[in-house]
Amino acid sequence: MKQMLIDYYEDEGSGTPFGGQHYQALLNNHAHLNCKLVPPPEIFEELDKLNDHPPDLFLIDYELSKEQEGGRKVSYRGKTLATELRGRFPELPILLITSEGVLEGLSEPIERQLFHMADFDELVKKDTFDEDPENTREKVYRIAQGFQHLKTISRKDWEALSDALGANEEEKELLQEAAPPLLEKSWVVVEAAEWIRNTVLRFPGILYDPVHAATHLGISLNSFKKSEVQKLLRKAAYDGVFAPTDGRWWRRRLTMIAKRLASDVQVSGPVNQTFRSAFHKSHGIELDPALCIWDGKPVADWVCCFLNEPVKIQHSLRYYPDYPDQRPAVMDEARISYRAIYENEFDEDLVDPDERELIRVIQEKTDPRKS
Amino acid sequence: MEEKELLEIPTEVGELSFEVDASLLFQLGEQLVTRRSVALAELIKNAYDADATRVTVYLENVRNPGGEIIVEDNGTGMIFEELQAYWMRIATNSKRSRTRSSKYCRTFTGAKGVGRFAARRLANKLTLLSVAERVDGAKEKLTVTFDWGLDFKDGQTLTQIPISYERTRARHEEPTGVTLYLQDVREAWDDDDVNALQRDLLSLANPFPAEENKAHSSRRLGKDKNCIIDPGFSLELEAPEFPEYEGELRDKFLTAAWGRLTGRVDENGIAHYSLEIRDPKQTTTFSPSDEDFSELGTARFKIYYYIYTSDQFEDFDFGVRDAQRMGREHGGVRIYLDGFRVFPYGDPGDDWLELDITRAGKIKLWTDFKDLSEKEIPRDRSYLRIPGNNQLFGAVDVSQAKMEITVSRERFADNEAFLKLRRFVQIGISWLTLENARVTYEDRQKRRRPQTVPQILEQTISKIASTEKIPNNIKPEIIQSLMYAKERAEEEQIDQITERSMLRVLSAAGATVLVTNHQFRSILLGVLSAHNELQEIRADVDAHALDRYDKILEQLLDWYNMSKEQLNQLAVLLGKSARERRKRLPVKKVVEQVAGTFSLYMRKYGISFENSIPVNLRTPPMFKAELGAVIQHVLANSMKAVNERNVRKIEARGGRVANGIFLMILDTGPGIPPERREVVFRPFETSSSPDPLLGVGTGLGLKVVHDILETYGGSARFVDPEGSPWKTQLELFIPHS
Repeated sequence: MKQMLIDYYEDEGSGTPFGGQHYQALLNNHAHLNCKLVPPPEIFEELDKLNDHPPDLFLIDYELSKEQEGGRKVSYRGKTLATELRGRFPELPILLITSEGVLEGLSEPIERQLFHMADFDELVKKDTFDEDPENTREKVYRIAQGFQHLKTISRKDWEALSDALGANEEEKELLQEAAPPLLEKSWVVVEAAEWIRNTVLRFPGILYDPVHAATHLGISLNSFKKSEVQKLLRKAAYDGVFAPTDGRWWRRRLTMIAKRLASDVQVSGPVNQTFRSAFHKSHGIELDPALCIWDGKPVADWVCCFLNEPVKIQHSLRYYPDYPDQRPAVMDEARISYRAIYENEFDEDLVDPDERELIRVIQEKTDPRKS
Repeated sequence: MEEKELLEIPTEVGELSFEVDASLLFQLGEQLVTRRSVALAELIKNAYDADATRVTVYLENVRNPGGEIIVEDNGTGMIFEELQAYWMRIATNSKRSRTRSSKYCRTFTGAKGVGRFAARRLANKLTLLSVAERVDGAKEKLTVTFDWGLDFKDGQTLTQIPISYERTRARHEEPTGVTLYLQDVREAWDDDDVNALQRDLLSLANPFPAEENKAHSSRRLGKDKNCIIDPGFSLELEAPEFPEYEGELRDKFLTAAWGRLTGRVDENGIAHYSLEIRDPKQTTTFSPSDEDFSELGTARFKIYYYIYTSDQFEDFDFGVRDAQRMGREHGGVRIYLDGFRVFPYGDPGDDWLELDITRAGKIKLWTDFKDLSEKEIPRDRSYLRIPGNNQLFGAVDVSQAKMEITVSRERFADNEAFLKLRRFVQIGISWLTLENARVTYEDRQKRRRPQTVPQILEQTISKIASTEKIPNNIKPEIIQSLMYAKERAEEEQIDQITERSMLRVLSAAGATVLVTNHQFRSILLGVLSAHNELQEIRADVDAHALDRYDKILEQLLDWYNMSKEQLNQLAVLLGKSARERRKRLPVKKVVEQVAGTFSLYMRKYGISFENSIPVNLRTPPMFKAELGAVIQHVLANSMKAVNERNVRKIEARGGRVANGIFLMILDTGPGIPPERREVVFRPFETSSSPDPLLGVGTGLGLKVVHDILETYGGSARFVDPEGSPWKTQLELFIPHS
């Protein structure tokens, strides 16, 4: 497997014991990552030199203005450097690395600018990196690998992009409804990467994460993770570009596998109500049902977008967690469970206006898990 | 077999009748009437119904059992036939056949025919003396004696007990009327009893006989040409053993009211209110458009409203303390049914208008009334300050036609008419509150501008200098003393940090915490990084040092986790989202978060904290930082309070009430004595000792709690704790927005 080269811009490279060198070391603990600490350039023309041997990924610290060894000091922040790099290397991923403390100190406009503009493809929190180095470096690696994959595709058309995702014909049709970034039938790497990561993989509908996949089949997350179940569902697993570490499954394939299984053992009915019994008949293994987070009873048929827990659709309200709402219509609608409405700090304004009047009614109900 | 025997009894047809045991009078006199003043009131009502204009109650030698009570009236009295037909006939009286008195056409106050047996409740013996004019113009005098103890024994048939009487001709000049001698008084009377009796008796007749009543009387007159204008009814208590309780409510006191509110319901069932404000002198009126009170008949009221601040009583020969005492002892809005008081409405402790529970924030009052809620409202929420019963002196007049009194002569039946009556008065008081808030808004704004002690003294000095009430020979001495006090206060002020300055200091502290939080997170990250680096080189450590090495690693990770938890809790107060938007917050979760900041402290001192707040309890829209601050302060206080006690428990409870939510913080600290429960909300009033972890405190914690809640029209107060093991109970109330 190809080594991914990372250029890591950091102003605290060797000045502090746990600055850039520390994270460089953490990254280099990955077998396929090779991270190099780079001081921020005094003039941006220096970046042109990279053209000969560009890295596979840029990692940039937000704070770059501290004085470095030899008295070097720059007067810009990471965002400026990212814009310069993106202009020069439009097909390479650029990641922001910073600590929670720095983020908390940012004003609202600056924070929004950082995350709602396209110069950074991902945020790596130092705190999270230290707490979970394994997954963090794997995530960095997969981003580099995904960009690399897209970059190497010669024909930048829809067919090639959907092939990169591993979609079949039916799934391609669905993906087209998710507004792929095609301009005159062609795409560019950065936009395609953004679409795959922040639309296709982010919103449940075409692909499902483990909780959604389990709930779709009417079983608990633990049952879903059983090796026998995973073996049966192997052909539904997503192995396309940017495949996340926690896994994704094609919704339609899950349905097909479940229906086929039910048919084999002569069980009929909706997938989320028959998969358990069909699996039991065919494999002799009892699976736990998906319990609704509100009443604690089977069978949940949706996932609460606030708590990420299974819920019965009748025990949930429509919710718009994304501002602005970028969820394509082909994706599952977001719903918030009665449980979240009952006891959590959610935003009432994001509940569907037609259903908002039910909030108080729900909050005054007797908790069904206690009655 | 049994059937055969029964069949052998010869058939018999006949009639049965009830017999009445003598103990019935005991039942009527003692068990129906529980208060001695109510028993006396029943006798006085009989005098009213007999067209008396004055009743005098004498208490003689009643400090011990065996004394005598005399009730004397100047009414029409009873002739022998009336005594026999009505007085001596239980549960039936003349009031059944007639509804009004013969002379002044007064509506009868009693209708059950049992009132006179209340005498049985008071004394063992009753002698009735009556002088009445017969139809032929001659006058006769009747004397009847009832020896309840001797003659009326259980087991005797009531109708067979002989009652002796004497009937003689009276001189023509002898005034008519009835005198009741209640001899051999059964129970001793002490100061408290007489005080209560005085209060009840003086309030028995409407103390504010208004022009409306006269008009009412004239209207009645119009219907019956034989009636003459009712000159009114007065009542006097003479108790030589208790001279301080003699007399009546002083008229002068009424003139010191902030305002006089009157209300009436017209023939179309529409309520009309009028408010006369003393200073600045003005009269306003109000009539709600969407309320129908036709079920009430001709109801009316008059209520005097007092504000117990010294400036309100400057022009009177009694001060705010005297007024407050009057308020405590005599305040309340009483109900008069056809001119007579119905107990216990308006008694101390009775809250029939729900004023006190509204003030306590337990229910919502004025916003229910549409026309009022649309009125212009002062921005400082002072309109929520509904007066307490002790601030109101009032009388509500209603007619028996619509209201139904219970057989015990105390309280009305809780029917629609009574609920309407309450609403009629409540709307008036709500409007009064709103008007008061409007009129006093500017004054309050002025007063809110901080006034220092030297400034207050300065004003007092100029007032004294200009007044003529203080003799000129002592004026300079008083002024000189005040000048000295002012100088001393100025000196002390220089040395003392003010509340505002302290808040400035705390605001700087808050800003510092924000910065420190940022920097501390970087340091924390360093701790975690160090841990990870050390973990990486663990393989290079000598085997004999490995145990120690692992312990250090573990300790580092522990510190990191604990410190991070603490920092995360700060987000409740310092997080951006906590200050951005008002939200309906889940209280249990916020309390949980704030309590998390004390986790180390609780662990160190073995304090158990229980969060029993229902998971679905939400605040009205408010900033999370505000709720966080409130909870932070009250929990910090409780933590400090319990940490030196043997039992160290804190519990948070909560729930909904009609117009908002409440939170309760209970702890096993030393408790707060009742006299300090208000003081502790003042700035720099603290009773907590310096705490090794939580510090000495700023002295502003509860003040901040109070101020934040007040912003939302809420309140904070300490109350008597609910049972063991609790010693302190703080109640916080936040109304719905």
